[in-house]
Amino acid sequence: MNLTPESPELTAWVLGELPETKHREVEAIISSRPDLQAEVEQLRALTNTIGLALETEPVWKLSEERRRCILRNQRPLIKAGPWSRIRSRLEVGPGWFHGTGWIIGLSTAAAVALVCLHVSNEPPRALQETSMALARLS
Amino acid sequence: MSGMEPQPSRCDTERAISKPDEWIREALACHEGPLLRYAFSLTQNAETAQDIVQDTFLKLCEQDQRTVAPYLTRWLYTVCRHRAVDILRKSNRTVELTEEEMNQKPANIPTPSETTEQIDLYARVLLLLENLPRNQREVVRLKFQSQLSYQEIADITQLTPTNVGFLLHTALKSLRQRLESLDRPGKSSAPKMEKQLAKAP
Repeated sequence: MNLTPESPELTAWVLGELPETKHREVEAIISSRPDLQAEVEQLRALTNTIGLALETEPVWKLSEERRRCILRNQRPLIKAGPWSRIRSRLEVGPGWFHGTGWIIGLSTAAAVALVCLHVSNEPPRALQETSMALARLS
Repeated sequence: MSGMEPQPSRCDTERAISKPDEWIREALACHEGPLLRYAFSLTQNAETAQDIVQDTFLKLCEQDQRTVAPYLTRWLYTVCRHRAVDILRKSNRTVELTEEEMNQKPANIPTPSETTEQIDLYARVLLLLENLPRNQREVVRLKFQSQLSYQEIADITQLTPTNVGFLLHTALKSLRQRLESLDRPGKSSAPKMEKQLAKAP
């Protein structure tokens, strides 16, 4: 194997990503090459530093509303964009307003309104039929 | 001499089967932070990252715990990535940067004279990390923040483990060079960076 300080195998070796046989093979080469040993030390220091640097990042969390939404196993109502505030208010509204409840509520209301409209059209027709029947009788 | 470093242990959610509510709660506690960082590194938008991670966990709620639990970390990152790519595609935003573009990009890296004395080593590493091309940044986070293997990263990113190794190698090389150049306002001061790296616990 031709190993140079530029070889990706060296990084893989430092990160313990090589299969056992190849790992030993690379290890043997490194132990006889001071240039590779120096490179390995550099890589270890850098990978260690990156890991520690990432640990210093502040921990990010989901908003409480989003967490609640997940824990209720519901589809999200909150989406990024101009409606997000309104939606987040709906999210904390009464129970029937959650999820698709408000859609069902609106649909039901619309159906009831249609039925009422239909019923309100009935009397004239009924009256018409009655007057026709009376005319026939007379 | 051995290159094998002990891997920090992952969350227990990947090993144990617990009550559904607890499982989701544990998965949230363990993965929401790293996933938000990951989603942000892909989209560069904190609100979108929140959406993506919320969607990811909602999808998790629909899954059978026994099927997903053994591969939870990989599953979460894969779903999170798909969602991010979806959103990026829909919004027609591609934040892919090649190495060449990155070199041309007027990165928000302060000049060495401004920073060398002001920002500590970790902050500089994070700053440089955010300025890597997206694919390199992604593998660095998956490797060093989420402690995933090349194979797991390959599964998530749909690359080969060799590609992952190459990307990571290139990213590390680039980070090192940039750290050295930050320490070198005109003259070579690579030993300074080496000293700082060596001092890191």
